[in-house]
Amino acid sequence: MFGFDTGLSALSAARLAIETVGNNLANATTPGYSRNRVLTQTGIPTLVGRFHQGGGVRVASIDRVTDDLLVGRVRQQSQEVERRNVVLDVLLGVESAFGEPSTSGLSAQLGSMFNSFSSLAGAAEDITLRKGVLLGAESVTEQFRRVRRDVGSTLQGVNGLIVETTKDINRLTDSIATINKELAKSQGYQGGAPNSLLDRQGQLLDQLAQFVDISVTDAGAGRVNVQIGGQMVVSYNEALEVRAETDSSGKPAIKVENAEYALDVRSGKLMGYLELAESGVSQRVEELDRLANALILNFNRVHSTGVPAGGGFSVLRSNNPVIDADGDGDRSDELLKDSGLPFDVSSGRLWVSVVDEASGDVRQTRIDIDPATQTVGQFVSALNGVAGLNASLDVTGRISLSANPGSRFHFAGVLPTELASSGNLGTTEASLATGAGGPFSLSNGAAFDISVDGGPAQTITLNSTQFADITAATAEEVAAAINSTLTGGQAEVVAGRLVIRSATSGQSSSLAITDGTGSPAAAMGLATGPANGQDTAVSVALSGAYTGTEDQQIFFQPTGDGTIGLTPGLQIQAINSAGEVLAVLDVGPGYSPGDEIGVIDGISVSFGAGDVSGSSGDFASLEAFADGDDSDVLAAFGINAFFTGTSAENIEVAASLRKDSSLLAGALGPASSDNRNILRLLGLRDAGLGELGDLSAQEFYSGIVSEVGQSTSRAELNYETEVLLKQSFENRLESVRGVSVDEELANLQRYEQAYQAAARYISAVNEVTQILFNL
Amino acid sequence: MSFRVTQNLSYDSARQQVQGAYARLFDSQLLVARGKRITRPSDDPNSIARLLGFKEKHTELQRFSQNASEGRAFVDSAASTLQDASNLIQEAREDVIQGLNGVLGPTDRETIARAIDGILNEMVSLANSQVASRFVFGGTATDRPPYELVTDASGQQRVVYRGDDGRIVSEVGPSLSFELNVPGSEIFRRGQRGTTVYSGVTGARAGLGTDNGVGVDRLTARHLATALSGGSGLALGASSTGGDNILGSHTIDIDSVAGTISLDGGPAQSFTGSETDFALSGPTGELVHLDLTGLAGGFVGQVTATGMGDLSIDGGATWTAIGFSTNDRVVDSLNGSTLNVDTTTIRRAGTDDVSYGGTLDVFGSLIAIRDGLRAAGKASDPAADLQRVRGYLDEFDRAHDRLLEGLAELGSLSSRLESAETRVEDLDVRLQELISKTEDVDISEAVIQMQQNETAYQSALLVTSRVNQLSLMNYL
Repeated sequence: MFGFDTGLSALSAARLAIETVGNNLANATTPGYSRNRVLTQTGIPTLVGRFHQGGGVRVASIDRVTDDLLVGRVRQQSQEVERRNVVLDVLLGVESAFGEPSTSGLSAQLGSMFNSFSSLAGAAEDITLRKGVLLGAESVTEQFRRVRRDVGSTLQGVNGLIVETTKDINRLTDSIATINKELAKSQGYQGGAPNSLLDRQGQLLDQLAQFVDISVTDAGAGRVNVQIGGQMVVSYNEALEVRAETDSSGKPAIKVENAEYALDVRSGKLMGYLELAESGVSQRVEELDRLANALILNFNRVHSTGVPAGGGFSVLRSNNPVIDADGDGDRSDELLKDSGLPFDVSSGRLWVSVVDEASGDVRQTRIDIDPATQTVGQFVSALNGVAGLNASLDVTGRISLSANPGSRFHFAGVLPTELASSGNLGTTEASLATGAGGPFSLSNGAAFDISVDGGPAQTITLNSTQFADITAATAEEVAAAINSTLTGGQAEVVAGRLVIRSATSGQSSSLAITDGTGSPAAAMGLATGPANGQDTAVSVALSGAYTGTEDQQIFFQPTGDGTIGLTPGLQIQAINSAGEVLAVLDVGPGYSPGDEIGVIDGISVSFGAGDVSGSSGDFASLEAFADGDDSDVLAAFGINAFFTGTSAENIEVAASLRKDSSLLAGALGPASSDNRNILRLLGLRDAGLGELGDLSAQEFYSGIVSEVGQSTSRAELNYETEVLLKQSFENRLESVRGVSVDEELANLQRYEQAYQAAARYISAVNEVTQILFNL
Repeated sequence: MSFRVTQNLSYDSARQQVQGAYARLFDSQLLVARGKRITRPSDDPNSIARLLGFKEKHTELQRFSQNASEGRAFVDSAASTLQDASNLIQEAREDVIQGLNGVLGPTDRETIARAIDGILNEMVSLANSQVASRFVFGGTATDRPPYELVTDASGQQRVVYRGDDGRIVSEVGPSLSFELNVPGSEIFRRGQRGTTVYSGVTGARAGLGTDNGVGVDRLTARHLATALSGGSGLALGASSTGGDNILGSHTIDIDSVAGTISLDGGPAQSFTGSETDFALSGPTGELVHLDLTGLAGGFVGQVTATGMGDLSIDGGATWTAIGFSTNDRVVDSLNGSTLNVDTTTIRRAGTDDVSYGGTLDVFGSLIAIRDGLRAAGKASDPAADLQRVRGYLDEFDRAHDRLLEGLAELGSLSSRLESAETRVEDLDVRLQELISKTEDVDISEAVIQMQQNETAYQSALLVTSRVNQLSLMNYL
């Protein structure tokens, strides 16, 4: 029947087209839906006579209009967006953990702690202000711990999220494998794979792409194989499980089951998490710990050498225990450097001052510290050996210190107030000394005569057997050589210099040297005299406190011979060990014996009445120490500590201080308003700390916050950029595959008309046929 | 190929645009409401470190200015206490002038001495003033009264200082520290050491050296032995040892013809030649005992008598031989102080009052004046005592001058603190400007921005509603 077939094909094509429009309209708002389009083609023509006659219309296929390239781009972009989003989320969390800028942030807390110190400096004995300082310090430690905990838990959270993400990935790959199975079943049916399955597949791939960067390859019949970083995770009907593991360096790593190497993840949420786990955030935590550590060390350094209210401690206990490193059950046999103390001990010395409560007299004892040779036990017994002080190592590995009743102790490096036996300046016995310390270049057989108290000359012959190297003879060796021969006198070494004294004292005591063979006296710079003793010794008294920053040895030596307060032009020079003149003190007429004269850096000296002799090499020596403990042994043990702990995680104000604010060591002496140690602590406010690369605590902290801000702001920018890019790709994809209602309506009109036309055609054919039948 | 626009696309982009416009509006609204540009580090990571630094400096400056004003309160109250002390001194001075009046009787002097004693006690309590339960004049030892009136074993009163020389240093500005106190040891201090004044009979003078005693001392010159130059037959009398008082060389003029003998050109005394223990006295109380029996007949001429002796300034606890040199050093064994004596002019044994010029503080001179007035009240001839009191009054005046210097120092401290406070506040104002510039929003700009965003939001809404009404459906 001519014509009917053609009409019928047109009718059914138009109906199919209308149904497709209907489906498109129905799915106009379905996410990820690709509009369908009916593709028609002309029917197979039949040969009618000499002509090929059209075979009507044939629906070739219902096409899913999409752009695979764009789909890929969108997928890739959503991975990037997810990755950036994850990073941004965490960084926003970190940023808010710091809580800056605000009055409760660490920066403000640090400032207010120093302010409370500043306030206390004006009235050091005020109990309320002392409490205020400790509360301020506690706020700082709390803030440290809080920020550290919050930032740290964000990091911990990231590790948990990595595990969660692998679970999500596994769920999605399972679903994709299942769809692959379904698609395999539909293989062979006409019209190919069902579009709905493909859309579902596309959605799953999109979801998977948010977690991790995937590459998708065609596996035939609409199926896909999925790879992550070159390793297969979906292969046909099978999904391989991915797991979160920790690699040898403690960093998280993702592995596919049975795979040897970790996945090379480059994008997606997972990448974001992995990125965070090893990125700046952990660095910020380390920096925070470093800052806390530096504050603890520096505060304790200063605080440990301060004096509390009342002029000293009666008991103290170290905060940091020593460990039994060799496991022999004895903690005391460990070297200081191996005893597990949180801060390094360097070699140096510690001054222990024991104060008599009744008289206020201070007795200082020096303990030399060498962490490489000294054991904990030796250190404790050295402390215990200080008169008036008891020290023991308890079972927990902490040192307990207690003062004898009636005395107190502290570690401030206060000046000794007497220069007793520290030289031979104005002593009662006659004495002669060298102008400088050894070594001296002498020769074998060199000799000189000493006459004591006007007695006969005693010849001292220096024999090379008495010296390790006579051309570099030490003062000690020369003293020993002299003492082996000399009677009525004594040679000794004071502050490196050789001093020879007569055994007698008073005006009748005298000493004279006559240089002999090889002129050893001249070679040593030994004064030859004659020197005379006197009835009353010149008393040399020191006062003040050394404020210099470096240790100094100071020698006081008269420039001439004379009587203090009497001889015109009499001067005493203060020189350092390098021979530089630090001060020249006029002690001639006009100087009232006993008056204090300033020397340098807070030290004053006074000389009593009496005779001094420059020509006899008179000198008095003083060691001025900048710090009561330059070995950091107190800070390492946490003795008289301000802060305890080692990092931002465990920084705390020492428990003893929190209990008793009078233990705050704000002084360097016994006076109640002595605020010198508070001022030293205040000096830490702006001081560049070596542990922080010479930045102050505030600057270092600002740096951390700035870094946090930088990375957050970068992450924000990255996120926004990626979102914009993703949107533009999505728009383009939408433009290709999205349903335009207008377009569909227009198509509907068109297909409706086509349908009407086809129907009209059939009716026309029918009429034509009727005409024929009616013939 | 032209860009196909679908409904979804149009809705999506409309949604994005409306959302975007609304987000911008919200942001600018927040900006205006908070007034702060930086509310978290990522708002401006480049400025955050500076901002934190500024803010910290700001609180520090506020602390400084508070330190300065608290310090001023402390300094000012110390100054007003000193003002009271100065008035008290004026009062004391008038009393003393009255006491120096020669016509006063012993009771009157005792009354005045009592008044001075009252002033002394009041002075001590002023020096022990407290501000906020801190002793102002104790240096850094602010927890105990710095001055105490003690009576030593010999009944002599002294005021001792129990404070220290410490200065309380407070931070009042960036690297600017001021002292908040002047220790009592500097306000109620002794003066610059002057010459040591000897008053008495021995003829000792100040030596070349500088003394270090304080206040007044008593120098005792003791006679030990006398030696006579030979040739005259003159010998020492029986009570020469213990009875003579001459020290150094003295000239005895003998005229046995006239039967007269004199010492150091003093009044001639007659003798008979049979005296074995003739007490010969000189013009200023020198005394030598001579045995004239061996005097060669008809001797006319001079004999030199040389007195040897020793000195003590510790009441005889230790003695130092007189060397008749320009500088003999005598040491006080009790306190170690040294007196340098020119003994070339020493004439006779006896005691000298040695007063160390400039070494009396306010309390010391008040005590000396009080005791001097009491002594003058008891003495039959008060002239010497009154003379001494006059000397102490000079010391007292000088002590007053030093107290005024202390007052001036406190005054200048106060004004320096004030100017530091002003300076810190100025600094703070500038710092706050910086902070404001860094973190504050330029409100007018922000408001304009907000209005723009509002307009943008409105137009986005308008366009969206217009576009979304359009559909082919409406025309079919």
